[in-house]
Amino acid sequence: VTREEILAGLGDVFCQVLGREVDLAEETTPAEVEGWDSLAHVTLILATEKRFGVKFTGAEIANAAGIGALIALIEKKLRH
Amino acid sequence: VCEGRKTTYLPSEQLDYVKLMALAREGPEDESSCARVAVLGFCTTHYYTQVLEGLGRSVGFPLATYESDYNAVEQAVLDQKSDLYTFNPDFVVFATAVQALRPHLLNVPPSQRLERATQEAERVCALARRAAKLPGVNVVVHKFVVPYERPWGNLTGRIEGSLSSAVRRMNEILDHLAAETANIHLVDCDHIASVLGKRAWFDERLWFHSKSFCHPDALPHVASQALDLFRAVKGRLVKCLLLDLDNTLWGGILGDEGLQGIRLGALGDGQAYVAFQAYLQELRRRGILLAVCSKNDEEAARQPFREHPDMVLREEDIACFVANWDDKVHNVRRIAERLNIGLDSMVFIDDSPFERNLVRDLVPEVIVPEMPEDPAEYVPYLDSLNLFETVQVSVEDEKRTEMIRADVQRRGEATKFGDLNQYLASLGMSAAFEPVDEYHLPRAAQLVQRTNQFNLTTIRHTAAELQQMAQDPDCRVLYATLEDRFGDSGLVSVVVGRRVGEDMEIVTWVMSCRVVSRRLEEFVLDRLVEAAREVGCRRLRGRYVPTRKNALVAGHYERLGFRRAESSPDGCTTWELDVSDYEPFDPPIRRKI
Repeated sequence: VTREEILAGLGDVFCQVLGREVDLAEETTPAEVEGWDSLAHVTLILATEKRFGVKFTGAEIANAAGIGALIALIEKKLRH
Repeated sequence: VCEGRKTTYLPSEQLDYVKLMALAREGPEDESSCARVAVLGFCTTHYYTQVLEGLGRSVGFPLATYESDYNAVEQAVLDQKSDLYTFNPDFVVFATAVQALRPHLLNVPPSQRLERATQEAERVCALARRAAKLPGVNVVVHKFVVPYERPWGNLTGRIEGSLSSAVRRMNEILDHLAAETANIHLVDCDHIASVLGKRAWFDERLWFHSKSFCHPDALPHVASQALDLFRAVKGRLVKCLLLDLDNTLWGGILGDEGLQGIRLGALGDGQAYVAFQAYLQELRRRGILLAVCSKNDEEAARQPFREHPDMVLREEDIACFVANWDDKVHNVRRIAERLNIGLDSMVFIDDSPFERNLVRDLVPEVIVPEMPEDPAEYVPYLDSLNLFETVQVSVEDEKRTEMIRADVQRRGEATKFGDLNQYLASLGMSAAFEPVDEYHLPRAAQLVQRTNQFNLTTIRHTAAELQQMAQDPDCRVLYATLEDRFGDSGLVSVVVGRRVGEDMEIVTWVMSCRVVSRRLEEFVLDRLVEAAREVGCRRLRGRYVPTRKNALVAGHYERLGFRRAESSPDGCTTWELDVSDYEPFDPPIRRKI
């Protein structure tokens, strides 16, 4: 799976959870996405887990602040 | 709340917390039509509250919600100036979390653990009891989920102070609390977690990260059961199951395959139909009426109930038996009429998608669940819908079918007499009329909550409110029973009177539709006038508040000789009766002392 594919998948997840189209790039931070607050974060992370069939650790959930970090995490999990 | 709204239900596969939360964010509906729900959490409750709200919206039971601050349950409940009291809730939900108690329980050695568990549970009970004293409130407490971990492995059952046994002890204490307090109810989260799987329920990451009491995928299941309780408290109850026969109660077509040919019994899917009937039989025992609604020749359709050795259900278990070649819509309405219950308290069970869609389209009030193809799934599926939630059990529940069958018989007899009075006199009726005591309180509350048609004001007093009024020296909370030679109809009428100066105001007057046209209301009025005289009142004042369902009693007070005092544009009318020159009706009903 390429980083582009992961990014596209994350786009689907964010759209589904936030209920609207979201423009995501590797540099996107939570502050730049309306609705990505600490409450929605858990929903986004859990939906991401389901979409890619991966499971994050508690620390990863807390620290995955940003699209780039999420992509890196998913890449790592899918490699193993 | 929600008078006139259609009750819907959601099959569990449609319970998606993300969608429900989005629905909740669409903003509040008209707040005045919402039930007010305060959620108090020993954990975070934001997701849960949103899911509750979204679910309420999607099933036509809108909620206005309030959340206590995180882990500030004590402050909210004990401080009478807190936002909780200003919010004025109809329902207070205690969202418990076994994760929050785990450290406290594990902190002590097993020998002291049950004692610690008792203390922790009592703390929750004390808060729930305090909240239950809010005016007009009903409290819902989440039971604890027995954790999955077992340091003792399969030996756990023998260890008195295991964590599992400690949590079970806490749940027993909650069970006891709910049993002794009429307006405290429980959501059995341990049951929900067991059905979903405890590994799916518990997500320790989310507990540490955000103090979530379960994985959010489980939240809609909890919310759904809490809502079922809310609806039951508000009198939205399922009273009757309409049952198809062929391929519903047995396999195959009776008309084609004959009594010996239908699949029912120890072989193949015949077992599934036996299991389904056993489940239905248990529902009947707890007071749900079973009616047959089948396209068949009646005599042939009755034959299995009489003769088939593997039938669990027998004719006497069926409150109303309709088998003919009319369309089912017609028959559904016919059964509602014969049993004298509302269409929205009926559930239609049929294996045929054609019949289900027909009834769904043409009688939208009736609840029509999809049915699984495999009869082996009938019980797990129907049970998962939790359609039969109720908050009161009464001793009469098990006898309900018997009493209804006697009614149908009685009506048959009535056609033999030309004159109604002559017929009524032949019944040998007797009735008790007494203040509601503890023994009769559950049934009285149940009647007040279930009755839609013969209900003058449709005020849904809870058991707690009735009890409170019964202790008020200015109030009279009275019940009537009715018995005749066909059988005992039990407690069938409740009247609440309140003295206001020289008037006795009739706050509530309900009567079971099963005893309409028996002149029991005249008997009750005779007694009410006596009661009014006893407390020195000169007048009775009654009100009629119209709803979608109580047109039956629009002329009630006029028929009884009351004078119209006021009419308001919304259709409410007020009526008065002087007690000084009142002539008793003296219907042919003997008073039982």
